[in-house]
Amino acid sequence: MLFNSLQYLVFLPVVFLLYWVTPHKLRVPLLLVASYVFYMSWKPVYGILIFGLTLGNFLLVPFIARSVNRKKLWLGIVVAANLIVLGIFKYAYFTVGAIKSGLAAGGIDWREPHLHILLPLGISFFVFEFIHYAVEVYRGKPLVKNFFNFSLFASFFPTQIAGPIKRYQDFIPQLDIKSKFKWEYVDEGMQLILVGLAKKVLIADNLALVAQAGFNHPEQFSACDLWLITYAFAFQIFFDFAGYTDVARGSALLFGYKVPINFNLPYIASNAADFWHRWHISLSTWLRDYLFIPLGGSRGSRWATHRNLFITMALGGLWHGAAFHYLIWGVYQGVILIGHREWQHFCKKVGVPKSVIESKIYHIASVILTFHFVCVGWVFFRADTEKIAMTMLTKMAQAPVELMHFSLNQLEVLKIRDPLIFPALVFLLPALMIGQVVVNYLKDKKFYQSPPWAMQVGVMVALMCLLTIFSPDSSPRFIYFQF
Amino acid sequence: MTLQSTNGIPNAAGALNSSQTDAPGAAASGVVQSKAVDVQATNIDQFDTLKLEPLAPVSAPSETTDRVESNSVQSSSLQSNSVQTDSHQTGPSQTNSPQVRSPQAATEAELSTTTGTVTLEKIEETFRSGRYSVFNVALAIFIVSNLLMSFSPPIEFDKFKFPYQGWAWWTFNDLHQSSEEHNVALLGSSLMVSAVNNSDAMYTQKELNLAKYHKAVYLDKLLSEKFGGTFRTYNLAAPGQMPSDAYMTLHAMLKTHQRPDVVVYGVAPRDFYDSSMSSPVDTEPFKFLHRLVNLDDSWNKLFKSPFDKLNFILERDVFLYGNALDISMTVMEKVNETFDKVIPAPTAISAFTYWDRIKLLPAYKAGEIHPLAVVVRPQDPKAPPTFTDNTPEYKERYKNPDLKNYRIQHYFLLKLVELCKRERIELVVVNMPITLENIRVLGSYKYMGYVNALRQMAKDKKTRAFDLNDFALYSLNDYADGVHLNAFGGNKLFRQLVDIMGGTFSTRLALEASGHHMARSKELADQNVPDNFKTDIPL
Repeated sequence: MLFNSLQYLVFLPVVFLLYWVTPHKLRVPLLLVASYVFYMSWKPVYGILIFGLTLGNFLLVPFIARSVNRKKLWLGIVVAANLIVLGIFKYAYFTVGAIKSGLAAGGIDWREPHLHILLPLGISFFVFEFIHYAVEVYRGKPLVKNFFNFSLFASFFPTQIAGPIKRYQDFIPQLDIKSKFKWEYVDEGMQLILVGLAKKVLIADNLALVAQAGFNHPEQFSACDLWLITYAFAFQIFFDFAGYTDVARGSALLFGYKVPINFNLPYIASNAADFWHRWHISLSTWLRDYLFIPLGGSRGSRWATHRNLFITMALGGLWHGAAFHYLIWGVYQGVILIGHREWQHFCKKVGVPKSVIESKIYHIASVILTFHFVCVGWVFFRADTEKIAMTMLTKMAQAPVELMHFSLNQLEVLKIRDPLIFPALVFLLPALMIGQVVVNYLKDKKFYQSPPWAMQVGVMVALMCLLTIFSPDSSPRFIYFQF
Repeated sequence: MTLQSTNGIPNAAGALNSSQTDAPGAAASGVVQSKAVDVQATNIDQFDTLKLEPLAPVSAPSETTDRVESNSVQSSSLQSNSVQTDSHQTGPSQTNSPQVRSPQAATEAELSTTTGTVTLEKIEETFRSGRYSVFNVALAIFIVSNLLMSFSPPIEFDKFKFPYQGWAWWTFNDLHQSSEEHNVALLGSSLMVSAVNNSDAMYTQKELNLAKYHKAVYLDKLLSEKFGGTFRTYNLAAPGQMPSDAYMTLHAMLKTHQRPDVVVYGVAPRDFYDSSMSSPVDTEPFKFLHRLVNLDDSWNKLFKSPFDKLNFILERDVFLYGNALDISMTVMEKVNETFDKVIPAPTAISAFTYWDRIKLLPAYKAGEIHPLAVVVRPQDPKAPPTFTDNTPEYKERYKNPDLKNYRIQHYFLLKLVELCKRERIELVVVNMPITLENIRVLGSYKYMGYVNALRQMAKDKKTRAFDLNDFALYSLNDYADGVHLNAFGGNKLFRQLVDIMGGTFSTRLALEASGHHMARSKELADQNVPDNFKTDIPL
């Protein structure tokens, strides 16, 4: 069931009404049933997997809490069990393929077994939530004793498929509060849902056409075109995933629950570290808490920190998908994070004046540079193979030469008039970038804390109309569903 | 009570390369004995600044605690960037929010609680505040404006306009623009399409562009020879056309004010048994035709899934939803015009063609037909006919036939019969020739069931239905593949059809009358009528 489907348009209000007319004691079971209905609407058999994992974790994690001498062993068992399940469903093909390629390089022709494994939706997200729970219990946090609450933590339908990755200490206590219905839940929840759908349907889905054409046939485009296409993908993935997160948060808010945010204007980040403070926050904090810190964090030497960063980001890349280009993307993120640390180190060592580093020009240049570093990463992320990524990047590197003799005739995107999104890029992309700056400015001015009531109504009506008119029949799935 | 304590939220978000106190003990030291639904911060900036406050013990959750407020959680507004809920105290909406209600109201509410008259007042109060809910007001405006527009549409759209130029669009574009009258119409799937166009290409010895060619000149010639007069046939057949599409297609033709006197509908088992179609609304013609045809009397049969049914109701009753495509097309036309003025497409280099587009974006408007993309060339009468084995395709199509779909398609065949009777159109249903090999793939039992059902329908509805699948007449040389006739087969089919129609009294009568009426009309049209010609006789 997609958030941008008619099914969800029926499902959500039905669950919402049932939830608020149901006595408090029955609300968690109701949401649990709804979440399983939501999950099993993809493929009923998936329900067994999520239930099995939930039950397994619920039964095994208490051993970590009870054990005195073997805490670590039990933690290892629980984490390994979760990772094995993830590995089987997500990485089996990739591993088999990698072994086959390796053997082929050694001259051995291996007939790999035929696997028929379907990747269950959201498995990467709820496995990470289970691991978080196990590690937190190991660190001394309390156990969840109510199986219904624990099950809902894993399967809560708004966040089930593509996060945000929740923390049980934040989520579970909300389930015990006997809250009463408030219209604010509806207002704020529906605002988030409509804004999220608009991000997805009006922006991301249109930009998807540009990315699809450019990344499948880079040879058809000039260097400047390829940069525009990469910017387009940067905004596509942002609006797609941020849109999903808004709908998830809005849906949760209809029931009075809060789930974490995932984005904070990532493209105005002034360095790679800042970008990761703003991009997929629930994943980056998870990676920090359960990978980077256990590896030693930044307590060791400079090079040990670099190593930890590198490993964390490489594995983070692989988390996104079982393919080499995701791994390369992760490695690239590790490298630019290390590069940023080294740059900071260099500035300190050379003694660059604080006034320079804190100047507006330096900040603007940093934002532009960071955005372009991130965009280069997106090429690895989006290209189906490393070869396509390298073809694109090689061509994109020729942009300075092209710009020296630039004319509009060089832009292939201007020639394409159907779909109209191609020529519209020359207006849309700057508008989206300026939009991030404007939103940031308004946020600083605390505009969103008290927008005029009439404006809120007006924006909502406008969104309802726009979504009704421009919502395509076959809007594609959210990008992060595949992870 | 499930949690003893929590230690709140992660530290500064994503601080991957910042220094941190990360030992398990250190993390645990942050534990606050609280019942906190603590701080699910919604804004990354606030992750840094949130403070954990000891709250009431977990074991005694408050009856009326508001999750959001009790946890200092911020709620979001128009943007995903959030605002604190207390910010609502300044907007018009809060005047009715429970927190800022008047002291008198508060006292009354408290009184009612203490006297045990439970929650009627509370419920009323809650819903009173709903009148000022942003969402409720916005939804009300949306619904009312849609209702108003439904009763009095601000703009009338041309429903023949469609952004996706598929087979059905080309068929009706031609028909819509045609100034000629047509007295015969052909319906059917690709079996009819191939028979007509192959025989016409050979007869005319011309290459036929199927996006724009919708005639059947060879059949017209045979009809004229047999019944006299003039015949102009319009070929409404389309690849994959099922009885549901055929019914809608004829309905749509009548909307263009073209009314054929005779309709020949060629059917084959695939039209009823195709497993590759999960529902009648999956076909390409349906996507276009449902814009033209009122489906109020048959939507229950057309839409299998309850969500498809809901979608239909919304399209019918919500003005913006029902006209979404037209509005977006109108907007896009305007935007396109503006774009052409502001940044004209570069002319110095080669233009971006349809072929470039299908290479770059194969899924965008998939199946759209370029005006020069589907061409039929005349078959060389001396060259041996080529035969392509399409058995694997039909194994898929006939696999696991859906009985429900079969019944639905029969229902639409009956609807077509009724429509023709109502419009006084002579309908001739013919079972198209297919090879024995294809019947074997389907299974002879199923094939006979299908033929018998056609016979029964003809008997019950007193309609002409002929089985033209004569194995003695058609050999493999007459087929391009297991089901599609080539030019030789097409010629045979139309000769056989005209003969059979000539042997049926009512059909012959209808065709003779129609042919002569068209001939007379043509004569009148051909006469040079002076501009000042006046007559009392309606022409």
